[in-house]
Amino acid sequence: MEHAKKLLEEIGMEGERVEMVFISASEGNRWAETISQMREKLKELGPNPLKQNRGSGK
Amino acid sequence: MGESGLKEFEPEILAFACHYCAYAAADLAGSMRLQYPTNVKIIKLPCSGKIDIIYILKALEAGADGILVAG
Amino acid sequence: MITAVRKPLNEIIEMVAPCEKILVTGCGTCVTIDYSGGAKEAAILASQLRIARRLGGKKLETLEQTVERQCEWEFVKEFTDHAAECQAIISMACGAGIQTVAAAFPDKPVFPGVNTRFIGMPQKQGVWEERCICCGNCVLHLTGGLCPFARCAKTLLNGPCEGSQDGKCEVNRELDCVWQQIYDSLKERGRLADLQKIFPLRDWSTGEDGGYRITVREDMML
Repeated sequence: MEHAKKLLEEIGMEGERVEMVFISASEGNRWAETISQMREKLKELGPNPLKQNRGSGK
Repeated sequence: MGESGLKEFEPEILAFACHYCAYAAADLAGSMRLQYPTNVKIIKLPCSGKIDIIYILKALEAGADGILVAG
Repeated sequence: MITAVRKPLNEIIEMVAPCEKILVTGCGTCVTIDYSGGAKEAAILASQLRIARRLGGKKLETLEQTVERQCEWEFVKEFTDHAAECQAIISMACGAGIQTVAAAFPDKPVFPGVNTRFIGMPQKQGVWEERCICCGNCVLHLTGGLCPFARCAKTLLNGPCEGSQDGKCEVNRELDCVWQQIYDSLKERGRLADLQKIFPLRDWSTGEDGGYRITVREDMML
C-alpha cells in the first residue's frame, strides 16, 4: 500500500486517495464508519483530477 | 457565491473487499440496517492479498475519487 | 541475474513528452524476477505515464507488451506489430535488451525505462547484491566461492588491504570485507592452503578493459 501511495505521489496525485483497512466479518459497524470517514476525507481532497480531463462523456 | 449553483461534490469510492472479511462485514452492515454513504462501489476479491497496484491505478484512471482496500 | 531499477518517473516523462502513442515493453527474464521491468512493471509505468499526461490536460496512448527475453532477435521481433502503431518504444529490459530493441527498430526512438545495475542475486526478499563483474577469467575456485573483484572496492587479489577492520570494509563500514569472508570460507572448507598461492599480475584484457567483447563459437554457428 505504501508503494501504491508512492506511485501516486510520484505523478502528483494525493496518496491519501488510497487507504487500506482490516475489517473482520463481524464488524458491520466498522465498515459503515470506514466508508463515512473516507467520504469525509475525499470531500476535503476534492474530485479525482483525472475526471475533469476525461473530456465529455464517461 | 458563484459556486453555490454547483452540486455538492460526492466522492465515488471504490472498495476492494476480501470475500471473507470486509465483504461479509459490508453484508452485515446491510442486514443491520446501518446507515452509510451510498457512493461506494464494492469489488469482491477472493482475498485482499489479490489486490494489485495496477487495479488501483486503473480505478483512478477510470475516475474513482478514492480507493479502499479492505481485508 | 541481471538486476536493474526503474528510472525516475520524471526522466521517463520527459523522454516521451513529444509522443502521443508509445509502446511500453517488458522483459520476461531477469528484470521480471527482480521486479524492475517485467509485465507488471510495464503496466504500472504505462498507467503512471497516462495519468501524468492527463493531469497535464493531454492524452497519451500506450500499448504494453512483454516478451520472454529482449536480448534476442527472435523475441524482440514480436514487438513489430505494436511498434508500427507507436511513435516511440520504452524498453524496460537491461541494457542488452534495450540495445537489441533499438537495433531491431532503427526507425523509432527507443528509451530506457530502467537503469541496469549489475549481475547479482537476491540476498533476501527486496535486497540484491552484486556477484560478478564478468572479468572473463574466473578465480572462484581459489577464493572460497567469493569474488574479490565484485565484492572488494579495490579489486585486490592477494588478501585484504589495511583498511579491513573487524571484518568490515574501510570504504563503507556497513559492508563486509570480502577478504575476511574468503578467509572464513576457506577455513570452513579446510582449504586455507589456497591462500598461500600468490596471484601474479593479472591480465585484465579478458574483462571490459580489453575493449568490446565478442564471443565467437564456430561450433554453434549455422
